[in-house]
Amino acid sequence: MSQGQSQHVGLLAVNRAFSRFAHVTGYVCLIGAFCEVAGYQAAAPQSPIWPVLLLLAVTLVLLVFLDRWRTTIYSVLFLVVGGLTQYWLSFSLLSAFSSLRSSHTLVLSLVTVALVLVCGPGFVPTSTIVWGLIGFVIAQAVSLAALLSTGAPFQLDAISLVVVIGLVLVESTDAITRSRRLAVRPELDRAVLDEELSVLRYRTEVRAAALMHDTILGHLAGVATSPDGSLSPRLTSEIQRDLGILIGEDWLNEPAPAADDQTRADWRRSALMLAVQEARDLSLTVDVTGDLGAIGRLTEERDVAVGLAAKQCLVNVLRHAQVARAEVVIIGSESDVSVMVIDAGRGFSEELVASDRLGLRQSVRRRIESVGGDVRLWSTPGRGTSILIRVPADRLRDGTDE
Amino acid sequence: MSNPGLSYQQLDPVGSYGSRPITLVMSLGVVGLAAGGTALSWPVVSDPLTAFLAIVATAVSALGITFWSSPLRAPFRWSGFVIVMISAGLSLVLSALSTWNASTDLDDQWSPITVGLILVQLSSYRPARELVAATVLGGILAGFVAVLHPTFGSSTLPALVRVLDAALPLIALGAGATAYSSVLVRSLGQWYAPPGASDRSESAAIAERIVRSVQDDRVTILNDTVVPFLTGMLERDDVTEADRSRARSIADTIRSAMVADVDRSWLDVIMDHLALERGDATLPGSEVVQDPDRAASDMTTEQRIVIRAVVLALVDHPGFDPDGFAISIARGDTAAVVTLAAKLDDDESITRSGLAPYLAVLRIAFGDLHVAFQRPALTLRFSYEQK
Repeated sequence: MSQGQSQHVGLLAVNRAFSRFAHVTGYVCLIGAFCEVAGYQAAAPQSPIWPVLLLLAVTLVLLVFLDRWRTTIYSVLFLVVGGLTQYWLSFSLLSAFSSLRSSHTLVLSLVTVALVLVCGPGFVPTSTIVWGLIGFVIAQAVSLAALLSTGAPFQLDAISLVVVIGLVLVESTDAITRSRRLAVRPELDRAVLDEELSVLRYRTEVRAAALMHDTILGHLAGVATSPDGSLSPRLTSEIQRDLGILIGEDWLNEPAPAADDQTRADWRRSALMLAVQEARDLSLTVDVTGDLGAIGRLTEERDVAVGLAAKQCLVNVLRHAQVARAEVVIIGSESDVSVMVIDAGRGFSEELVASDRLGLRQSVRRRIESVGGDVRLWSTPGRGTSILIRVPADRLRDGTDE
Repeated sequence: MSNPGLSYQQLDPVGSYGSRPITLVMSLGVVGLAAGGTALSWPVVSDPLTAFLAIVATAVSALGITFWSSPLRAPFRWSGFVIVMISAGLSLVLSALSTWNASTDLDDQWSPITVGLILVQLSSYRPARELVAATVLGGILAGFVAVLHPTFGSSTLPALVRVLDAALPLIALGAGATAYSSVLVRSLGQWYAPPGASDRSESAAIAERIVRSVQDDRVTILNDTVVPFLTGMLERDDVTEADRSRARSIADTIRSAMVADVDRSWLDVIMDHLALERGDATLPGSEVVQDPDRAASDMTTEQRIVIRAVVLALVDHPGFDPDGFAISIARGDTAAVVTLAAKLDDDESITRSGLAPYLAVLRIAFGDLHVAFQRPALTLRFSYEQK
């Protein structure tokens, strides 16, 4: 979500939720009033209270309409029909039950509460307050008319009073505090965006550093160990190729989405296969075993990362292990693809590796971590090294996306 | 997204923090209603002490909500919810007991309304399914108490009406509160939701600029030293001791720069970029970050975002003193502990200051925030699971 956008989304959600609160409360009040009136009619079958039930049913139907299509026309209709219902309800019950004249009961407030709550919420606070007050005034006016018609004494409708005071207080507080709390949200949105960009920059820099390590530092090491005289043809060719790429091309761009996933699924064209091939060109014997097809379940980005990391592992075997043979084992599970590079060389202790040796840290560990994977290493001086590179699979075994 | 197990507060800590003034106003209103309702029904109160205790139980509920909805105690815990609801239920029973020996029918009772309002207050802090459960249980309790009340049998009103009178206010407000919580949770999703489709083109353009910038930086470094050296080597095609020595020297320089880069955490980068971005040399940089074990990398994306927002909020605070700022992270057995210290010249209490919403988000993201503010020293301490 862009800056500022989520604050509108949040505000709309709160308005919608408050509107839902008011409508659900209104539904329960009207249904409750219906049940109570039915109870009164059952207790006094000779009294003509039943028309109130019809009016309550119409009011309920109007609430359904208002709930679905909140328009001024439905709001006005609801207030008019609701007012009529409130009058008839008060008149009928006060006429039929003299005991209601001495104490106010809930049933006389239920429609009023619905009239106060239902029409306003969902808009700005002032509008909610105005609609609520209109509903309250209408309900009180018709209730007073019913009292006068029946000659009943005035009784304070404390419940409706509490509801309307509560509505005004809550909406006023909302209006007063709204600007202050909204000020924070853009800052969080900004932090979200900054974090996304930071992750992107970090991954780009990791990729750049790994490529630099694989190319330039390797060539400089090659020059530093070359004997007097001409450079070897292989080193010359690699330097020419890499300088051309690093200076002249967009070498940091993410690989383009695979045009043909099935083709890339072919082991022989994977980055790992290229890494194995390059190691073999450097005179290392590499045995490849395991689930070769699992490599095809990786996206191109992870495929490339695994290939380059494995290449660095194989280069390390050549440089440091003092053996001419390594094994690459590919293991595919439901959720992961793992590549293990094993040699029976002299081994080492990771803690004792000089802090400025970046091959394992930069070209293997951080490169794999940057694509969501992890690297584990087992090595004992004199007893060989095993490096396990694990990345999440992007496709299931049947070829569907994870 | 619809998850009945989540609350509005968990999904949108800032939004629910915004509800707090309304929560406080309603707490006052609930206690006032209990006191006023008792005064209005005084003619039928047969046991003043129980009536007083009913008001006290309501006040305990209201105080509980006020206490646990504080941004410094977010998220509102299940235990707090249970205590508030038990106290509210007690007020309902005590209120009925206070009129147990009344000789006439009761007027409107206040306690079902206050319990309903308490549920409305809780709708910003607890999930919908708990509100439903509390509404159903509260409605049953209110109806049950009405049936047991001695005036029930002697009332001239129909039995159904007596039960509905007692339970309806609670059920209506509880149902409304449930709807409120449910709609908010469905509408909002996570507060740090990933960018929507409309932002993707903008993000792609920014991504391209970042890639271009990183590549330009690298090419500039290469053009300074490496390219002239290697190009010269290729042209001459003759390696000498001076070339070998120069190759080692250049490699060492590049490697040192890369090692320094590898050792920088995202937190270091935030601090350095902040000073750079604001163009303010007095702002602290990565030197204020003490993270010897690189534990910062174990934080989740949500936690990183919150730390970033909190750091920015502190730096933007008008009373911020750059000299007193420090962040340290120490690994423990299972959790890493972050201590963030800042000097703030602020007359307000922290809970009322502009920092309060950030602290609410911090509490949600880390769960165990401890805040100490003795002007001007502010210390925030929190922990997270380390990998």
